[in-house]
Amino acid sequence: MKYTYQRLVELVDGDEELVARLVEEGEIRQVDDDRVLVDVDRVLVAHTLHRELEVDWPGIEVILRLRDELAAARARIAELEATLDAKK
Amino acid sequence: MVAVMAESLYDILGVAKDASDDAIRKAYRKLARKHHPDVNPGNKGAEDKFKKVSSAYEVLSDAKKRAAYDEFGDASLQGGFDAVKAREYARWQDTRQTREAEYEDGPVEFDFAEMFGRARRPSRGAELHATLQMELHQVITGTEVSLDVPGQGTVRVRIPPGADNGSVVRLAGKGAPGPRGGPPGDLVIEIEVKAHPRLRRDGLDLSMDLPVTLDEAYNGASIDVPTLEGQVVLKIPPRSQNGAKLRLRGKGIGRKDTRGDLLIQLDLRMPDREDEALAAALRASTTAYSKSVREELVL
Repeated sequence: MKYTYQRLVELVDGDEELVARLVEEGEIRQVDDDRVLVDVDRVLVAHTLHRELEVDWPGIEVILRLRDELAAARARIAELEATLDAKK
Repeated sequence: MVAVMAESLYDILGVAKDASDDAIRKAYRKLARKHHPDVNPGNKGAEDKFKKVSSAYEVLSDAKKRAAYDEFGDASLQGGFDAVKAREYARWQDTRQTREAEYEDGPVEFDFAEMFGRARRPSRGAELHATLQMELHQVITGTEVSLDVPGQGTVRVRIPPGADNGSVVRLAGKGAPGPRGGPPGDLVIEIEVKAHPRLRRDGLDLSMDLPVTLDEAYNGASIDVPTLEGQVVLKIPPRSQNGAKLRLRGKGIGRKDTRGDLLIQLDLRMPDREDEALAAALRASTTAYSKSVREELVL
């Protein structure tokens, strides 16, 4: 399923500048001349940080990166727990 | 897998969620009597149970704490809990979940032809803004200044006569160059006029105070008055009062075909040296008033 650009803009309350910035910073991955891949949850987090919490762009980048690292750490812990359970 | 539900405060006291205050109090007393450490000395299990029962009663016997517990559950029992913030957070989370629910997890494909197409087209350059401070005499004659504009070099700007605080001069195409060969933006200059120590401004009119002697005010005179365009002769009528306003037409600020006036307010200065003859003459002058000078002074 492919969604329209306008749909994404609506999702961030019309903040086209944020969408352009996410593309510029590589947070929205360009697939080809017309298509992009968007992690909606990630865009909504960036939107909240930017609009509601007034975090500047370097701050948003740090938070998104830390979020990724946290998710990776949680996945690793779950993996280790599963391995330990299997050994019991 | 069977989900294990945490024990609620109502479960601990063994009452229903809609139990009355009285029913809660009775249940607490009954359980407190049963598990009290004095009744069960050395029984660790009873002591723990008594603590749980007491904690549950502390919340459920307080209407405010009970309402918060009913709305937010165990989260309301944590130190520093703020019901207003918790409600806002819950609302925000609902909105977020509603928005996310429409999309599958992970990256979703969007058609960005509209945005990329827009970005690829040439577009107009940004507007550049500058502030220019002017002296009042420059406002009267108009002035020409040179500005260093990034991407444009030196730009000469003619400010026409009559500019005021906040006046804007827009130079089309003298702003930032347009991306991808687009037309340049505009250069916008906002004017700030510095205050003059003696002249006041009201639109196109100017006004100033003019010190005059007792003789000039009483007998009348033609005196030289300085203006920003040179001296002019002002005729003071005989018996002019202090504060009287005289108008010099067309000596204010000009803008296009209109020209303001210069308003002169007389500032009567008394002689500052002692003079017996003058004092005597002035004593005699009291008979020259047609009516009492304080006749209209009624409070």
